[in-house]
Amino acid sequence: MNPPSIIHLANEVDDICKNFLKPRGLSYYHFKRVFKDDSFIILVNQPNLFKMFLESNFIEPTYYVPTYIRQSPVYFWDELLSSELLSHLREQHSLYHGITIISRQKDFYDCTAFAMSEFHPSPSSYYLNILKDLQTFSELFPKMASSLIENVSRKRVKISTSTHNLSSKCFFLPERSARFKIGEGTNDYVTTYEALCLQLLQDGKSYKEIGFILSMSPRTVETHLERLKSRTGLTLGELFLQSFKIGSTRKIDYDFAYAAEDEQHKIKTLRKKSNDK
Amino acid sequence: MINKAGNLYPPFQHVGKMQKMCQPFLKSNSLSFFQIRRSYNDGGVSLLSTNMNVTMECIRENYLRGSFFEKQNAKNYGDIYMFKDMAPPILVSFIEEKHKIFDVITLVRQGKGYTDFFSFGLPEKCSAAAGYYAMILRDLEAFVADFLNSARSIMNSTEKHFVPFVEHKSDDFFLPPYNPAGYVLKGRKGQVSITHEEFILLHLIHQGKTKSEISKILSFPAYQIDYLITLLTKKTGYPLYILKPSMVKSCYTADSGNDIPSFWKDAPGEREYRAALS
Repeated sequence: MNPPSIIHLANEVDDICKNFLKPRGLSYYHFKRVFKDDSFIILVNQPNLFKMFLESNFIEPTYYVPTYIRQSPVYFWDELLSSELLSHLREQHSLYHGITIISRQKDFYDCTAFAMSEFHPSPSSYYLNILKDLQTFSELFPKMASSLIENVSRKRVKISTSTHNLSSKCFFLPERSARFKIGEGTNDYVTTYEALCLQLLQDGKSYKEIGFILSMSPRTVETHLERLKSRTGLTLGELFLQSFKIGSTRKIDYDFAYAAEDEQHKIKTLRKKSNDK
Repeated sequence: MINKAGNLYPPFQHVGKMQKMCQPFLKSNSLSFFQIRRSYNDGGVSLLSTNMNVTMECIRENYLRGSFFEKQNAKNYGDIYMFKDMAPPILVSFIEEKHKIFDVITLVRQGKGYTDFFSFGLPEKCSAAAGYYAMILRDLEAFVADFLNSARSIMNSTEKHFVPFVEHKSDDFFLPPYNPAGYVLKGRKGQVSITHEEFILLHLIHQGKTKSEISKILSFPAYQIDYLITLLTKKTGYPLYILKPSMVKSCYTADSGNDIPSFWKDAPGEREYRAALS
């Protein structure tokens, strides 16, 4: 990456998000897309900060990730990053109270981060109030800056393994579905992708949008939901209510899903070996 | 605590019911504490919670202090706030040590004549509480909406026996007090006058409420709200997403204070409201 092109890109990114950031008292924005082969691209609002990202991949809680944060799509910098890093950000770059929103996909995951330029007395409750706006903007940005992202994704940067301690699947969607039990019957279970479809549908998204997010065609979304309905014998409205009561289906246990995926993989490989013999 | 009539105070009768209703939700989200506080505009509060000791404490002494700080700061936050951001650290540490309730979050909802404060708490200290709440925020909102429907009979029974705190008359920072003079808004072609109901409608829309919710709060039929909205947009010449409650000014602002009629100057809660505005 040449420095002049980076600055040019930063200006373009700034043009896109200026109108959103200013009225909300925010000053900093970065968009980061991490691919499965440990490479990433980044788009930043402020050109001075760009060099730091190339030196070290530091705005990531690589050393300590609690399980509930791994499930959640949102984390606050003040709570998870080390105090040295936070003080460095404040003194050198005057960045306060950052927030990062993660959206999972099969082949990559997107981190979008916002931060303020001044101290705020109660950042967490301020952010919780405007969280919906931030989430919609983070969904819209990849569509608005699609040409920019295409240009940059030709020149990906690789994460060095020493700084990247996370297991590689941490924030990706699991490839295979795991079963979560609802009731005691044999047919009373929900798979991860059915639960995801339900959750997104309840948030008011169309089949097309759900398909875009989960990287499947809208027709498969329909079949997922139909299979769920026929298996459990409930209508969609009842399922919305029920999932709320159970709690386990709306909040998907990704760790469990990854573990199930690993087990299935092991069994398949064993079977292959036995067949070969 | 025993009532004048000799019965148990109503909040304590319902603690068992509340625990039954809320526990499946609280357990699945690893929460431990839930409280609803409904404060009426004409003074008085009704309390319900899953924890007996905390309600006792609230009624005896700490409630007064807590409500004071909430009233002062509630305007700066919106529908959602964390307790530790707003309350003094002494109070927060007191609740943490004595009752083992950590990182309380509060959601605010308005109705006609009252405001509801739903608060949730964790059983242990969480290093990333705000991140955790951000993750389950949608579940919390759904639970609050469901609770209002399913626990209507309990709420109605407590309504008659609310805790009488007469000193705190106006808890109505969220829905502004009734102003007989009306409100003024800067439209595209100049100043436009606005009625009290339209002002409240703007507030509710800005909070992101749905049409059915608004119709419940204002006790209008839903189709009438459409009509009100079209009237507003026609009047001002702006689309809805530009209109905000902060653009509206009451006819008697602090600048033109001399014009205030005497009967309105001494109205209950008006002085505090003006002080909070300035």
